[in-house]
Amino acid sequence: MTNIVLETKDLTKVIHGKPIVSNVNIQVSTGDIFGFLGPNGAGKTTTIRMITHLVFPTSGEIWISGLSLREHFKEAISKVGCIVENPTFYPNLSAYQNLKLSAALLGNIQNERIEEVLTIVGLASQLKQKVGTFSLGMKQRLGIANAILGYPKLVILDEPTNGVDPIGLREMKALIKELANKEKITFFISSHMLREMEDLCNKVAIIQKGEILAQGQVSSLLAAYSVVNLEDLFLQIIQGDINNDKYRNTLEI
Amino acid sequence: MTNIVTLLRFETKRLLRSKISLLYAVIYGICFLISAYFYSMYGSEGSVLVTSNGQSFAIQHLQASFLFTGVFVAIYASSLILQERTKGTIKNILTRPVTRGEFFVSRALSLTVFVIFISFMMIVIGYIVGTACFGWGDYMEFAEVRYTPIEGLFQTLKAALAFSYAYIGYGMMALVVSMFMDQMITSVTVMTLLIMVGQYAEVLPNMKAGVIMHQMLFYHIDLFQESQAVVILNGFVIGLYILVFFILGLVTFRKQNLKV
Repeated sequence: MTNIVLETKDLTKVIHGKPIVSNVNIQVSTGDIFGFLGPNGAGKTTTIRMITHLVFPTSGEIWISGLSLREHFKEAISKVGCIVENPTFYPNLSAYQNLKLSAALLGNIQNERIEEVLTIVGLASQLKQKVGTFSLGMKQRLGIANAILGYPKLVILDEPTNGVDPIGLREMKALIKELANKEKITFFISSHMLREMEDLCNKVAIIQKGEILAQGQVSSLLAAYSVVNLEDLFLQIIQGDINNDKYRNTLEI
Repeated sequence: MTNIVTLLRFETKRLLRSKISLLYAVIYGICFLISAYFYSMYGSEGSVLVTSNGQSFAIQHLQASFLFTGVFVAIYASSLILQERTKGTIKNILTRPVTRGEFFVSRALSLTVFVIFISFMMIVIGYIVGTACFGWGDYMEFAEVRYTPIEGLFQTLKAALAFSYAYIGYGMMALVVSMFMDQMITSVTVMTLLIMVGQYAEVLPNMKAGVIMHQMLFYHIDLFQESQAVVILNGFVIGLYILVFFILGLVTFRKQNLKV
């Protein structure tokens, strides 16, 4: 049986009477690079904010490595690293100093680990540079360094390719694949950049207006919907050309 | 507990290294120099000074810094949660094994450290400016009572702590108000308006003791002029402000959806 790293059950968020996220059921297994896809305003970031405990669900449950986020918050969240929306750091502090705070809050993280993650993401020479002088691409990489600092089981990236140039994009994809292979990290990535996600992800879920319309292995979904790429799949599902009820909220076991 | 200490140490280091702290010191220094200048030109009528020597200078200027200190405390209180939220840095802390309660407690303690820090910064700057302008003097005089230099130092420190205590009450209010705002400028403006309006509570003799602005103005002076019963009662009022706003802030923050 595959290890489930992230699971949500009937996750719902209602704001001022309007459902932003409705009964979202997701399962992410160990080793997945899971794409969470949807157009702008679909509920991707709200879902991620609930998973990372920045926002409280109206109803539903979240488990991280089998631990309930509501009942075992500290143990569950210690297994997660994340970038929510855009990576933000204290601009007057160096990359090292920013990560030192994270390390102190995680506990049992040695200084060598800070240098190690900065080396992994290619920022070793900018260790003492103030983050305020960093480019967006550098901040994204620092965000990933921060996310992997505590040897997480799951890394959540919310629209990590926003504002990144093509070279930065290629480097980020290579980094994610390398981390998934070498550090055995499971990734949960939200995006609307479908071509990049198709290249990266083995599983996806497509969300629209707060509801999951389809979920499963990329290859299986492409075959099931008789399309050749994720972009065609996405457009068909979002535009509702296919009767997708039987695939709604399909879970992989 | 470890997380609270970690966050408190981090904030304290940021405070001590911050250019804003230097700016506050410069502002106080300039104000005190202007006060000394006006005293030298017009005597007590042109300044808050009654006794012109270094030992007495600092304690006499605590009340005079009411508005500035109130604004500085409001700015700092707003930066602790509101600014962290608007800039997004709060995400890096709250997506770690740090509970909302631990985060809020660390912020309340950081506010306390800041208030004590600027109160004592004022005392030090007051001593420096006062001594440079008038000499150290043979005695400290405050509220028409003279003290020896050692006694004067002790009384000044006592006044600074009492001053800090009242401003911690105000600061806790500012911290909680800022949690409901979307911009620092709005939060600071609201708290500054409250200071300006609150000081007119002096015209309501039955109510003024319950208004935190009255305590900000007078609690450190009450220690020298009022009876022990009044001092204890006023201390209780300030303590109540701290407790009520701390609990309100803690309960609110633990349930708040963070728009980051």
